[in-house]
Formats: sequence, structure tokens, C-alpha cells
Amino acid sequence: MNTAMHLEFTSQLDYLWALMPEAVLATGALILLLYDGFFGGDSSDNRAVGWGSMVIIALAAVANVWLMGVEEVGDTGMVALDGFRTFTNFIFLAAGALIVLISFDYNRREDIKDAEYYALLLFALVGMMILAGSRDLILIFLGFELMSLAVYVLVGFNRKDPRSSEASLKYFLLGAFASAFLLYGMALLVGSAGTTNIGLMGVMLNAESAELLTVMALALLAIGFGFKVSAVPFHVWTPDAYEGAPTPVTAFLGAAIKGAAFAAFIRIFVLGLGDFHAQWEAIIWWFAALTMIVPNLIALVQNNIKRLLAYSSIAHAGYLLVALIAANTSGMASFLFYLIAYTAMIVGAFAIVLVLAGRGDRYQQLSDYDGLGWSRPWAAALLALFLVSLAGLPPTAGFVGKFYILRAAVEAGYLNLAILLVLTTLVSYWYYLRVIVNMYMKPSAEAREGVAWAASLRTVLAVCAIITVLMGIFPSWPLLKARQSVAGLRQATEQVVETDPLTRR
Amino acid sequence: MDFTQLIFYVAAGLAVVSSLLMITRKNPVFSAMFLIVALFSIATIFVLLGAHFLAALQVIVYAGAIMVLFLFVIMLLNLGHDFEPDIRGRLGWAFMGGLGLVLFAEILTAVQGAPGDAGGDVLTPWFEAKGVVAGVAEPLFRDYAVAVEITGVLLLVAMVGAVVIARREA
Repeated sequence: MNTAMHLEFTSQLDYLWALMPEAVLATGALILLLYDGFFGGDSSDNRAVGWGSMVIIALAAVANVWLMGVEEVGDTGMVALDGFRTFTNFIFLAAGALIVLISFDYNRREDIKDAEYYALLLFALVGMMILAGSRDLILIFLGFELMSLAVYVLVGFNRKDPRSSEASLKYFLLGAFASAFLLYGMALLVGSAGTTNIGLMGVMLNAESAELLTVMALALLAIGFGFKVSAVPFHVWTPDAYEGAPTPVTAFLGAAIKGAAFAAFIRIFVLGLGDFHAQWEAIIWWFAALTMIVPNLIALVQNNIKRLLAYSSIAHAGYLLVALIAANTSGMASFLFYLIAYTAMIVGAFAIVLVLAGRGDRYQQLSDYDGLGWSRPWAAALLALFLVSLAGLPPTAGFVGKFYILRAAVEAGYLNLAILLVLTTLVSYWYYLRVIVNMYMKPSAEAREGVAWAASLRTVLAVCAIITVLMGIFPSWPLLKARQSVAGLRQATEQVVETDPLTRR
Repeated sequence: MDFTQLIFYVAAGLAVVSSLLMITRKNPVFSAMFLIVALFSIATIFVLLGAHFLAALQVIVYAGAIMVLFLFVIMLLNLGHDFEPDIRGRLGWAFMGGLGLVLFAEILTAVQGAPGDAGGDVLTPWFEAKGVVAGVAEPLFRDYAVAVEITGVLLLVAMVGAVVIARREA
């Protein structure tokens, strides 16, 4: 393309262009559903649908590359066209592709009829991308619900396992609760700002004389997002949902969904209402502090590997909250960097847990990992790598990511949170290293049936391992990209107050 | 107090009372019936605001179609009898009631703190200029057309999800 395309959002067609990756994914998911209806038959081996969804994700990624060259006029369109959106889109699409690849074997092993599985996965991706890429509260809520509904079903997809249904129901009930809080907060925010557009809100609202209404709206919004990113004290659903869900969906929950909710969290709180930092800082500070302390302590006594990783994922939400509260360019860049690193290591760790659990997910206790280092050296080595990265030890991506978050926090003057981050990370070494000690220093438990390492799974493990190591050793390039994509995001939006649909009349 | 205000207070009071009754009845059929009353009262308030079309939609879609669906589901699942409440024990009730009261107090103080009648009567001139149907249709299908499209996808996902969950294992 020679000249960059400009979108003014004067006609509805502009929205189709602006939402091209999402449109590709949604259309592809519809085609998958129709294909299965006509040609799917009864066979449980639906790999054609799986590969089809890989192709669709690839097409959406191409559309996203094209979107990087498109520019918007002004920065208050309902759909954002900034580096932050395209960057997070890439992360979600990559996570989606990795999840599809590890789902092939899992679904065959657990005998899951999976045409709708892949379609729902794609719809969940659409929801995430809308959630993370919109500047309008209505679209953000719709994206939130689209993602959540698809994932509630995915969590309960394994109908033969009562744990899966239980997890789905718990997640659904608490998720609906969270949606109510979110909607209540949005309603109060619209009531005080008079617009649903986040970009305009910063202009319409005066931070110096903030009304009670606005502050309450911020608190309710923080609670709603706190549920979705599993911030303490709204984390209670997390271990149950993570344990009961089919393992690929657990990886999806841990990586992409949390990332999408965080991206919207940042878009509203940092980009839209950054002037209100003084008002929302207190509540987010407590969220961040509790979310770092509590799960790291509870994880010390976990014996189920999926629950342990669930608590680890809650703790990581706490670290990301530190990046959010910093609310500066470094904070947002470190969030994006950490999101890539975290996606790679959590998907990799769950991929290994998935294979080793065996048919019917029988082997999930920590004691099942005794002596693994000698009976399955490759699996043990890779799991050790991912755990070391999750713990944040050099030379892995997790270390660099935590380091950048620390730096952003110190730059913004949150020395106490930075110290807390270091201390809780030190505590977390104990439970990550416990797994590694089990694998290498204990005698093997019992002889088990051999597990199949399919090519798709090996690919995922290789990709995750390479990202984890490379980003640990050469972090400058991804960090540069992350910085570029958030550069200049917090610019004034005064010039376009008149273009909002609600204030236009 | 003129006639319009009188109607407003009656409708608003009815909406509040029937909403409270709806969430406190043990029998789901009663709850559904009180929901109808609440929806009708809100439709009345829409009429007072000059939004006749919205009121008609409210009655047709919610009080009509959605309620029939509710009652069908109650009938098909044989839920038409009293339920044990899910919230057990005094502590649970105290917690839930306290949470509700806090949220209620929140909105009360927030509304009191808000600048009274900020925009004045916005709706009536808007509907007079556009007509009652176009006044709803124009924002919906012009400014928020994307939201309508995404809602379509959302409903489809809900439907696919329901089919997946309800499907009998072969």
C-alpha cells in the first residue's frame, strides 16, 4: 500500500475496515459451524475444523498487519486504531493459535466433540479483541460479555467430567456478578460524564473537582475488572475454574483472557481517565498489594499442579496491577512485554501438565511429578524452564518482565509496591522450586503408560520455550516494539469533542 | 403537583415495590409476574418522557415475548414451586442485605451529589425533531450500528453455547 488509509468513522463502512481482524475471525467461526453442520458427521476426530481455525487465525493476523498501516483521524473513534490495539491483537491471536494446537490432542484423548469448541474459541478471541481495542463503553461491555459467554461454555466443555461442569457454573455465576458491577459502574460513569466514549470522558470530566458519582463509578469498574483479572479479594473463582476446565481452556483463561481484561482496564483507567489517577490510585494500590501477597502464600500449600499454577496466575495479575498503577509509558510497555512473556510461559507450562496428566486427567498431583527428571528428561527440563521463568529468575523472559515492571513502578514513585513485588517474588520461589525439586530429587513414583507427544504439541512447546529464553537474553527488541506501540497514547483529545454521536445533536 | 407528576410517582413507586417483591418471592412464577408489573411501570415512565415507541417496544418485547419465554422455561423445567433460598444462614443474609444496602446508599448519595437537572429535558425536543421511531432508530442503526452487529454475534454465541451445554452425549 502506497498511501496510508485514513478512517474518519463518518460512514459505517469505516467500522468494517477498522474491525477487519475481528470480522475475519467471526466470519471464519460461522463458516466452521456451518461446515461442521453439513460435513462434520459423528466422528470425534475434527482436526479439519481445528486446522481451519488455524487458517482463520492466520488470516486475522494478516488483517491485523494491514491494520497497522491504517490511520485514524482524531483519537475518539468508537474503535481504537492505535499501536496498543494492534499489539494486543497479535498477542491474543498468537495465544489463540497456541491453544488450538494444544487442543488437538487433548480433545482426541478426552473424546471431546470439538467443532463448536474451535468456533467458540474464535468467538472468544473476537470478544477479547473488541474488549481490548474499543474506546466506547458500550463496545467494551459487549466485548466483555462476548468473551465471557464463550469462555463459560468452554470451561464446561468436558461434559464427562463433573469438575468441568462445576467449574463452569461457578465461573458463570461469579462472572455474571462481575458483569453487574461493571455495568453499574459504567452507568454511573456515563451519568457523570454524559458520554460513553472513553476518549471524550477525560475532556468532559474535571479531575480537580471530581464528583462522588465519578469516584464511585471508578470503584465499581475496578471491582468488575478485578473479578475478570482475578485480583484479590475477587479471586475465589480462579482455582476452581482453572482446575475444572479442560487444560487447554485453563491455559487460555490464564493467558489471553486475563490479558484482554487488563488491556481494557488500562484503556479505561490509564488512557481514558488517567487524570483521575489520584482518585483510583488508592483502590488499585490495595488490589495490587493484596493480589501479590495472598496467592503467593496460599500457593505454598497447594498439592495440585493446576491449582498451583492458578494461584501463580493470580499472583501475576498482582504484578501486572503494579504496571497499571504506574500509569506511565514504561508501565504500559512493561505490561505488553510481560503479557507476551507470560503467555508463552503459562501456555508452555499448561501444555506439559496437559500431556503428563494422561487420559482422564488423572495425574495432576505434585507427587505425580516425582522423579520426572529421570524418566522424562525433556518434559521435566521444559517444565523447569517455564517454572523458572514464572518465578522470575534470570536468564528468562519472566525475569526481564518483572524487572521492567519494577522500573516502571520506581519511575512512578511506587517504591513500596516495588519492594512488595520483590519480597513476594522471593516467597514464590519456594513453590516453583518445590515442583523442580520433586522432579529431580525424588525417586520416581510408579511406572506409567507412555504419553504421546504429537507434532503440534512439540511445536507449541518449542515456540514457548524459544520465546521464554530469547526474550530473557535479548529483551531490547520486543521492549522497543512495546514502547513504540504505546508512545504518544496519552495525548490530549480536546480537538474532537464535537464528533461524539451523543454530544453532536 | 400536576397530573404528570402524580402519574410518575405512582409508576415509579410501583416499579420499586414490584422489583423488590420480584426478588423476594420464593415462587418463580410470582417473581415473573412481578417482573411484568415492574416492566409495565417503566414503560409508563418512558411514555411520560415522550418516548412512546420505546414504551411500546418495552411492552411488546419484554413484557410480551421475554415473559412468555420465562414462563415456558419455568413450566418445562417444572420450577413452579417454592425454592429453598440459596443464601443460607443469618450471616449470609446479613452479608447480602448489607451489600445491597451499601450499593443503594451509594447511588443515593451519588445522585444527591450530582448537579440536579444537568441537561434539562433532552428527550422531548429530540423526539419532536426526529419522530418517535427515528429517534430510537437513528442512534441505534447509525451511531451504534457496530454495537448492534456485535450484539448479534453475542446472541449467536449464547445460542451455540446453549446448544453445546444442552446436547445429549451420544
